[in-house]
This record gives sequence, C-alpha cells and structure tokens, in this order.
Amino acid sequence: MNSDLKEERSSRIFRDITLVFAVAFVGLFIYLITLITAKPGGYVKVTIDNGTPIYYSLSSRGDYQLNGGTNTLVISGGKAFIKDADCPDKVCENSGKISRVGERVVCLPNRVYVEIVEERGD
Amino acid sequence: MKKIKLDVRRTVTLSLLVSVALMLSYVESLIPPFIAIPGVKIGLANSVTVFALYLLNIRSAVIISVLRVSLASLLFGSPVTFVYSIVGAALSILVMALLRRADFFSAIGVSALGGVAHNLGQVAVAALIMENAGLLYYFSLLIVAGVVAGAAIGVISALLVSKIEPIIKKL
Repeated sequence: MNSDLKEERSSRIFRDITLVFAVAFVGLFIYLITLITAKPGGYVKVTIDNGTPIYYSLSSRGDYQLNGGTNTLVISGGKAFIKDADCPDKVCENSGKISRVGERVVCLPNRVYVEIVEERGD
Repeated sequence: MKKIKLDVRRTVTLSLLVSVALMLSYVESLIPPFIAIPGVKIGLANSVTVFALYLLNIRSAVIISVLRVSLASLLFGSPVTFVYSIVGAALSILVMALLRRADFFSAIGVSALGGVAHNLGQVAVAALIMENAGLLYYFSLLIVAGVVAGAAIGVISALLVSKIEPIIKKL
C-alpha cells in the first residue's frame, strides 16, 4: 500500500472517530439538559390507542389494570411504573420508574402510553 | 448471452445477501431488549446494507434493505413494526448513500450516521402514531444509541468489505 493511501485512510478514520464522539456528546448533552430542566410531575396520564387520556395522581398508591388488563400500572412513592405486560418484548416493564414531567413509558404492541404531566388535562 | 449471465449473477448475489440479512434480523430478534428504550438495538442486518452500499451499488442496497425489512416484519414482526422499520431503513439508507457519495467518512462514519438517521426516523413515526411529539424526550438517547450501534456495525462492515472485496474482484 502506498503511503498516500495510508495517510488518506488514517485521516478518514480520525474523522470517523471525531464524528462518533461529537454526535454522542451532543446527544448526551441534550439528554442532560432535559434531565436538569425536568420538573417533578403531579399526574400520570395514560393514553390507550389514542383514546381519551385517564389521569392518576402521582401521590396516590395502587395497581391499575390498563387496556383491559394487558398492562398493569403501579403508582407508589411518587413514582409510576409498569409491572406486568402481556407483550413479548417487555420493553415497558424494563423502562423503570418515572416521576419527572415528560418522562414516559410506552408499550408499542398494546399502544399503551404512560406519561408524567404537571396538571390534569395537560 | 452475456447479459443473461450478468442478470443471474446479480439475482443470486442479491438473494444471498437478503437471506443473510434476514438471518441476522432473526438472530437479533432473539436477543432480549437490554436497554429499556423502545427502538434501541444493534441493527446487525444493517451490516449487509452497508456492505452492499460499498461493494455493489445504491440500488442493490435499497433492494436488499426493503426486501429484508418486509420479510422480517412478515415473519417475526407486525404491521406496526413494519412501518417503524421501513421508515427507519429508508432514512438510514438515504443518509448513508449521500455520505458514501460524499466520500468524507469511511464505512464506520457512514454507518454511524445511518444509525442515527434510522433512530430519528423511528422517533418521527412514533410521534405520528402516538400523536404526541413529547416522545422527542427520548430522542437524545436514541441519537447516542444510534451512533454507537451504527459505528459498531460500521466496523464489522468495513472488515467484511476489506476481506471480501479482493475475492469479488478476482471473479
């Protein structure tokens, strides 16, 4: 391999690495900003299949069957999470607990959409 | 006579690559989602698309990508996953084809930005289906996931291209 080609290749890989780190950094930066600016929420808004949303207070405590039992929503200690889902991928169960405005858990297969909002009707 | 021979070769190449991509899609569907953000995956099958983009041409890459997404959704997915995948794949291949032409990055950078484009396409579909642009909350994390997964696939693709290119040239 001649040296020009080698140089061209290594400078290209350098550009690749710079690109990957730059994009990852920008993404993480935006994520940090959304985390810092997020306010603690007041209500859990549940939307099923784009229907009328149902609101549950975050200060309440309990298990709620959503969508006729396909997903179980648990609210406890000011945090909300999905305990059970009948879908195979279990993404919503693994999404963790949410408590800040704008955080959400989505179950795409069942079209169940759980979001933290500040006020009822947001 | 020569033309027919070329067509057969092209058809066989494309078919082989589609089946490889389909197998990779299947293998990936067996991996449990390890990060709890919908849409985050490695995108193994994308290595075939990148491979085709470098060793064949844009048209072949598009054909392979569309066939793979359609078949994979039919076999292991649903109509909803099809919409997500096809939009993601379309956006990703558009970005990768343009970058490939610009010739500024190697396969790693091309694939990395393709991964980001794929995830942004999926966020856009999710925002439309859910009729709630608030889903953009996760878009920052999907950018990071896309660039990391895309770069990893790019490394694999670059290796494949460098190993297989000399063999193909000899044919």
